[in-house]
Amino acid sequence: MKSVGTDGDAERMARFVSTRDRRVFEALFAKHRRSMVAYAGRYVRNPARAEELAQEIFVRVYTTKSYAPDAPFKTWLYRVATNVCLNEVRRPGYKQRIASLDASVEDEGGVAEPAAPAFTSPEAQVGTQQLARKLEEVLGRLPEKQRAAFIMTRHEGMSLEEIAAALDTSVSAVKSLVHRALETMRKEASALLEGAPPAEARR
Amino acid sequence: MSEHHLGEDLAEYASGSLAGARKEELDAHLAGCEACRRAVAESRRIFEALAVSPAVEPSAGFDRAMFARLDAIDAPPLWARVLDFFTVPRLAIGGGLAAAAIVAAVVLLPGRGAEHAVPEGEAVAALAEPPELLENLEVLKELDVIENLDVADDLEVIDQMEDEAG
Repeated sequence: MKSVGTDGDAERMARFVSTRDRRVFEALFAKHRRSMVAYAGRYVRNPARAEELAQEIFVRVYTTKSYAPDAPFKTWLYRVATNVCLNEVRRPGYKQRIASLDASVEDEGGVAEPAAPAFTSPEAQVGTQQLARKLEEVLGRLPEKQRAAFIMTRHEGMSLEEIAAALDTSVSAVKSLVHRALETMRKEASALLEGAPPAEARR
Repeated sequence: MSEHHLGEDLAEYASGSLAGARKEELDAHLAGCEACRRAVAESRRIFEALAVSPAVEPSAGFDRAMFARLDAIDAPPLWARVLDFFTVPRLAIGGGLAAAAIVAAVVLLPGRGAEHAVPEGEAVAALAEPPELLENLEVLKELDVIENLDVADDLEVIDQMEDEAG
């Protein structure tokens, strides 16, 4: 079997594809299930739907016929995951579903509230929560690739190279996508950002 | 030129992940540029607010639902079930109806070893239905699957039915 360096997951996936041993798959599933549910949740915010999307991601992994481990498994997994999530975003009625979810959050507070950092004042906490909600709303309206790139850098902590591999594009394209997303957020949340504390010099 | 300003380095600089010569260049630049200072402050505030957004966690039933889907994917195909798994009551009914029972049973019973009792009258009535019956999961789940199957005879009938179905 072709060497895959030190990526244990890539080895596991290659072994699963050739042996169809469910236990090998389950090891991968156990390791990545939480991050896939969280990632899908960044696109749909409805917990039940996020779980369904995460399952769809793992079904695709499970039914993969060939896997050439020339890239880390995580990168490949996020490529699959992003395709599933962007397909969901493209489904007719998606905007209406998200808009109605936003409305119900306003009315009923159904979705979990963002937790503000403990050391801030109550006023600052409310401000942060308000800003967080606004940003999630703006995120939901971004063009697909900007949204995907932004989610991967801020919520998944992925490097530009990892994101570029997941989106099958260049590092400079990813940098541009992230930047445009950030600029849109600054613009659309400017009222809430007014009086943001000055940047501290970081050494 | 505008390269002195942050430009597309804003996100990396604000998050603290920019290093090296470019970072030092920007450190120096910020000292004299209010617009860029404000951009960094706003970006940091944005990142901080996003970081407190809660992540969706898998619920208690997530794994179970996952494995149920995988089981459905792994379920043996129609022909294997016909050969190995299912028998049909040997009722005094025509070959076509018997074949319908076989096809219905193997298509829709969820896995090997399904044993559900149903009154004989209902079973016969169900078998008398047209092929749309094959869509009726509820009725067919209850078909009794117990007696010995003469596989050779019935396979012939199934072939015939498949030809008719086209």
